[in-house]
Amino acid sequence: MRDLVVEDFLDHDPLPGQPAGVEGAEYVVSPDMSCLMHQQGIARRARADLKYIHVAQVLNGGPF
Amino acid sequence: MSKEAQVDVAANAGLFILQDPVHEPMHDKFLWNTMQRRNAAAAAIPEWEELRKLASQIKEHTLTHLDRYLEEFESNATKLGAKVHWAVDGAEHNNIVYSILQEHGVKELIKSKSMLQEECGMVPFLQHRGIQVTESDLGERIQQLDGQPPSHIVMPSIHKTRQDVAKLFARTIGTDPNNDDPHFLTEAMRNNARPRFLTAGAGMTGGNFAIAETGTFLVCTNEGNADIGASVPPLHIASIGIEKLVPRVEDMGVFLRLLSRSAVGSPLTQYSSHFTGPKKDGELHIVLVDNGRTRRLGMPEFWHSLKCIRCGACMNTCPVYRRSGGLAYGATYSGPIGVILDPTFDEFKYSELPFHSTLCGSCSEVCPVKIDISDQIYKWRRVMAKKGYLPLAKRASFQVAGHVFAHPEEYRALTKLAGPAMEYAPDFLLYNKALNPWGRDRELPQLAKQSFREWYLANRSSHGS
Amino acid sequence: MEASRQQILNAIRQNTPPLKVQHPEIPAFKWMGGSVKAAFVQRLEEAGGAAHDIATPAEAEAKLNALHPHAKVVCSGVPEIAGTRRIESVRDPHALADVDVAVVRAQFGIAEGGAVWVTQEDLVVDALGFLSQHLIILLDPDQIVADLHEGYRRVRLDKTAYGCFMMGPSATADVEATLVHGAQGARTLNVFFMRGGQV
Repeated sequence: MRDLVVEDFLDHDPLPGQPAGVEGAEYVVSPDMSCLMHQQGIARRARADLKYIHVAQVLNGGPF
Repeated sequence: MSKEAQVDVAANAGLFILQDPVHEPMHDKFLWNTMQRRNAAAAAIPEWEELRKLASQIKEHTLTHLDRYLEEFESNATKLGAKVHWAVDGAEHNNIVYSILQEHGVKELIKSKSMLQEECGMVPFLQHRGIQVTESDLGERIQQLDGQPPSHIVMPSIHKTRQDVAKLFARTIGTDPNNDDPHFLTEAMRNNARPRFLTAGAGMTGGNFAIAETGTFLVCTNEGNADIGASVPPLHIASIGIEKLVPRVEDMGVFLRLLSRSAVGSPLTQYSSHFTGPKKDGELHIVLVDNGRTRRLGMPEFWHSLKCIRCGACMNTCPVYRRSGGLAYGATYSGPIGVILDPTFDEFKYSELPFHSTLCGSCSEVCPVKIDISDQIYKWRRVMAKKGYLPLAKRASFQVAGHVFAHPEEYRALTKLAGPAMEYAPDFLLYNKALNPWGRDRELPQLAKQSFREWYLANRSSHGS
Repeated sequence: MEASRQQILNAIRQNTPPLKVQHPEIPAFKWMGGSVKAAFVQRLEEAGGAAHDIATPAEAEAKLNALHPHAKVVCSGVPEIAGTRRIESVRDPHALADVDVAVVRAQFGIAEGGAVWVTQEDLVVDALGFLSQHLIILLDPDQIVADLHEGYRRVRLDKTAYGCFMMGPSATADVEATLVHGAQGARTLNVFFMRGGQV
């Protein structure tokens, strides 16, 4: 099974001003735990280097 | 009279996914690409969100004054020579169409796409009475030849590969089974359908919109098949749901700018055709159909579904639909809009549909007329639960979950146990395909050593309360 | 059937939601797309059509022959191109089944869609626009409006039984979402930018 959303995060154009080689998203943030669990499960099975965190972690500056 | 069996949409989706490694990923990819084209088209219009708001408001205004606008439409259309009929339900619609065809001695009919006619079961009804009916839209014809209903409201055969179509055409219209080039297949259909346009005694269309101000109705296609069907045979019959009304000509600017961009990402369909009264030397019949729409109008939580302009954007954006294929839903309407419409046709039969969703809310975001689809899906779950339509296993597990979530100390105790349990449980149990479908394609989550709450209490709660 | 009509209208009146919503004012949106002619051409090409600047009727005839060298039946509704058959002489739509190229004039174009507005009066017989294998549409380049809102201000739906915003040739993407032109209607659509009134 693939997840096109996960692939899309991996494919995103690098942000302007980023050093070369930094492609794709590093962190995926959401307030929805079940959504994060599903995508993280697929990403990890695909050995993709994406970190999934909850928005509460962003708002509170941690833990990461 | 026995109830129609419940549609097991999850099982149907499973069959679609597991049939081979080709069909579901292809279906997923095509609709994802279509969604991305829609996103690009929407982003290119600075006033996109304002158009959505206007469209929603125009529809809400029309639906809260629907009797007035229907009478105005009827009056204007009749003045210009159209014959307007009214059908309470699908059966009456079919009878009206059949009697018009009989009066004119029509034995062959060619039609363009109409979800309403699909709803009414018109084609089998007419065929049983000896009328040859040909679908002229390529996707609909493919489905007709295969004895299947359409799976998507804009691309009816998008669940089929080109090889599927090639084999089907070879079987039914005698083409080369090994030539699966879409250009060849389209040309084959063009040549197969064209003679039927020329011999048909009547052409039928649906109606995307009906303008009260002028008695005009629109038919939007990319193939132009509706236009051939309306312009060649002398008799044109149009089936139009009563919710398709818009008040004024100027309103159409808003809707047409939204429709095709939402559907496939192009500014317009190749043909946006406006019919007002019969053509020269021709006859035009319009059948206005209720078939449950007035009942839906009276549902405070669900009447906004009547705003739908049948663009299909909700289907393209829905991760569940993309993987399930439209046929899994077992209904005329599939995808998110289907989930909120179908229970109004048969609550028990479609009681599983509201659970075939992640409630991600993307459908509500892309809907050009701002139907609160995701919220309505949730509300239908409440209806199904109250009516006792949930299967026993779900009812039981929801009750347990409800209890645990209502007692925070129990919740915390259970999660504290879950971490070590998962760490020490053997993989063959955790990833057992029968016991735990989750593990079939995903890694199970690793629970953190410290929960967020524990971290917060330790690090943040001293900063004010 | 009058009973059904009454039944439906009564059901609506009974079920109408209590909150009546006002019809909104539709604002005029600012066109940010630059030259309307250039935008029109770009959208038309994206939709599978093509556009040509034509100075004289002779040039139009030459361009038609260049685009469709094997055409046997050219059915014209415009004075600028003679054709092999005049649409004014046709009554029965079925008689158009053999038309290779149809030539008609559109009343105006819409830049945001690369679409032209063609009516029953322009086509004379509606089927001309859909049975012919190829279409040539004459359009005055000064008659291009920016968006659909302007387009709808120009049309007179009460004055014509048939009017179509036509954007490029016939198309479908029903097989594996692969775009194919010439599905049922015209295989190609070429716009000739020509002012009217030249013979």
